[in-house]
Amino acid sequence: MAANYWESSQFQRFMLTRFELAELDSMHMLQLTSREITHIKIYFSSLVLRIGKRLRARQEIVATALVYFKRFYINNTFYDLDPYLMTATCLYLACKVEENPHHIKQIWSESKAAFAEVSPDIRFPYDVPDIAECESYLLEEMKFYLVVYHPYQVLLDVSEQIKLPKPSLQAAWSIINDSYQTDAIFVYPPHVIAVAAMFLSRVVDQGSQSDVEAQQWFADLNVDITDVLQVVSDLLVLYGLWNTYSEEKMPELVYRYIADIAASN
Amino acid sequence: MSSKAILGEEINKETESLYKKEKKLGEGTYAVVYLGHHIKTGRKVAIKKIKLGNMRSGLDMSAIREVKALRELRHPNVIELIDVFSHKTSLNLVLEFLDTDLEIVIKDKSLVFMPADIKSWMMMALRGLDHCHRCWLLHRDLKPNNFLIASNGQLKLADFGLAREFGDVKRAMTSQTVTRWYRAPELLLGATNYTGSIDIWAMGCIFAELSLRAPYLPGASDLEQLTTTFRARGTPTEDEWPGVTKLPAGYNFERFPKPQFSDLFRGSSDDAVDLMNKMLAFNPVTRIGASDALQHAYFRSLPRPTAPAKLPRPAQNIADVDVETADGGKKRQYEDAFDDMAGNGIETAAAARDRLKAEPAAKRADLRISSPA
Repeated sequence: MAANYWESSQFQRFMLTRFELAELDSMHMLQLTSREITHIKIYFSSLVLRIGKRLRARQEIVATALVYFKRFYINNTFYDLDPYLMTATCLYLACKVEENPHHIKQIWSESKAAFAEVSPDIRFPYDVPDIAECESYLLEEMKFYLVVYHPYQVLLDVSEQIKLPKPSLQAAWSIINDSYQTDAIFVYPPHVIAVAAMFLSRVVDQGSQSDVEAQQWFADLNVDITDVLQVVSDLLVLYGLWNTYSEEKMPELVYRYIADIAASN
Repeated sequence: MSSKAILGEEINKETESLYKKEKKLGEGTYAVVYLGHHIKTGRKVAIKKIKLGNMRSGLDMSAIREVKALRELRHPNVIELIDVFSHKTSLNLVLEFLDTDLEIVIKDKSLVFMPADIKSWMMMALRGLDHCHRCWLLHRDLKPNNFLIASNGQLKLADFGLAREFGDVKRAMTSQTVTRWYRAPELLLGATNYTGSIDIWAMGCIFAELSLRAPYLPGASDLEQLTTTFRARGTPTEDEWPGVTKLPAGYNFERFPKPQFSDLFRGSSDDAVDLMNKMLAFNPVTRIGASDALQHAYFRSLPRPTAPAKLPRPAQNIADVDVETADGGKKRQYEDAFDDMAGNGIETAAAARDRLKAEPAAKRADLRISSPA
C-alpha cells in the first residue's frame, strides 16, 4: 500500500515534532546521559538488524520492525516490557505485515541465537507463546495501525530518474539504514530522508565525476531544504557517537537502566 | 513482563467498553460476526471476532491483511473499520453494520433487476475497487458475497483477508487466490506476478452474473475452470493473448469458438456487453483498469444508474432484525416514485419495475435475461 503517505496513519497519527521527541527522551532518561540514550537506540537497532540478517529479511522488514519498536516505547518503558522480547516480536510482526511470514518458532530461535552471539549476559528466558502474547501488546499499543512507509522506494525511483551512479545509490541506501538509529522517520516524511541520504552520499562520494546534473537536480528540488539538512546533521551526530559506542558494554547498561526505572516507579 | 498495565492495554479496554454485542449473525471458519451497537451513540455495528486459536502464533495472515488494509482505506464504497480491540485470545474488528450482500440480492428471485440497477451496482463496486487499486492494494477475493449493501443501498467492498499490496515486480505472489469461479485465466495458469487486472476479471464475472442471475463461469474444479472459461469466452488466440499458444505441452486446450455475447446477454445494452468484454479480456495487459472502466461509455449512456436507495433489496436483511426494516423494504418496492428523473419522459428503473410487477409473470418471462445454457 504505497499510494498516499499523506493520508496514511503513519503521517496522521504517528508523527512527532523534534520538541516532543526531545521531551520523551528526557522523560525516559532518568540517570542516563543523552549519549547513553542514543547508544541504547543504536544497540536495539543493531539487534533487530542482526536477527533480520539471520532470517534473510528484506531491509524494509527490518525498518518496519524498528518503527514498531519505537512506537511501542514511546508510551512504555523497558521495565514495562522486556526490550529483548519486544525486538523479536517486532520482527515477527513486521515479517507478517510485509508479506514474508516466518514461523514463530524460527523467529524465537534466531533471536535467541542472535542474542547469545552478542553477549552471554543477555537474558532471554522466553518461550514461543511469549512472543505471541507480546505481539498482542504491541498491536494494542499501535492501535492496530500497521502500514509503515519507508524512504527506500523513493530512493530507488529517484535514483533511476537522475541516473545516480551505483556507488552513490548503495551509499545512500546504507545511510537510510542508519537513519533508523535516529528518530528521523518519526519527524520527516520518507522522501525528505531519501533526499538527505542522497545528498550525503554525493558529498561522501566526491571521487566520482562532479555531475552538474545532480547539482541542478538538488537545486530544482521542491523539498524544504532545512528539513533535509536537519536529517543530515542528525546523521552526522549519530556517526560521531558511533566512535564511543561499544556493544559489549550495552547489556549491562540496559539492565542498569531497567533497574533504574524499576526503582523510580 | 511486569504487572503494571501497559498503556496500549488500557486504551484497548476503553475501546472494548464502547461497544455492546447483541447477537450472533454468522460464523465462518476463522471468524464469528456479531450484531452490536455503540453504547453512547446507538450506532449499529458488526463486530467481527477473529479466533486466534490458542494464541500460539499470534495474529494469522488473513487477520493481519484485513486489519492492515482497512486501517488505511477510507471510501464510501469500502466497508468502514470503526475500531479494533482484542479480548483475551480474540481480535475484534468493529465494522459498520451492513444489512445484506450482493449474493443474497442476486439469488432472491422475487427481485427484478433493471439495467439501471446493474449499472448502479457496477458503478459503486468499481469505485470501491478503483480506490483500492489507487492505494496499490489488490483485493484478491472479489465475489458477490464480499460486496455488502448498506441500508441506504450503498454497495461496499468487504473481506480483505486476502488483500495485499502490489506493484513490486520482483516479488512473487501466490496464484492460489480468488474464489474459483471468479479467478482470472492468468491465475489459473499459475501467474505469480499480476496486477489489479485479476480483480477486474472477477468484476467482469460479477457483471455477467448480475445480468444472468446465475454464476457465469461455474467450473466444477480448479482443473475444469479454464475449460469452463474458454467454453464461455472462446479459447484465446495468439492475437488475443500473445504467448498463449506457446505454452508448454499440457496446455493444449480444446478450441472453442467465440460465442455471440450479445445473444447470451440479450437484456444488456451494447455498451454493457462491450465493457464486460473489456473486463473479461484474456490478456491481462490489455484488460481494462478500474478507473478506465468507470470512464466507459456504459456509465455515460442511458439509462442512468439507479439511485442507491432505490435499488431492489430483499425484504429481510441479514440480521433478520425488526419488523420495521422488513416493512420499509416492502413499502419501498411498491411505492417507488423516483423523483430526480420523474417528469423528463424517461422511465425510471423503479417505475419500470413496478410496471413489470403489474404484468403477468408469463409475459415478463421473455423480458428476463436468458440464463446460460
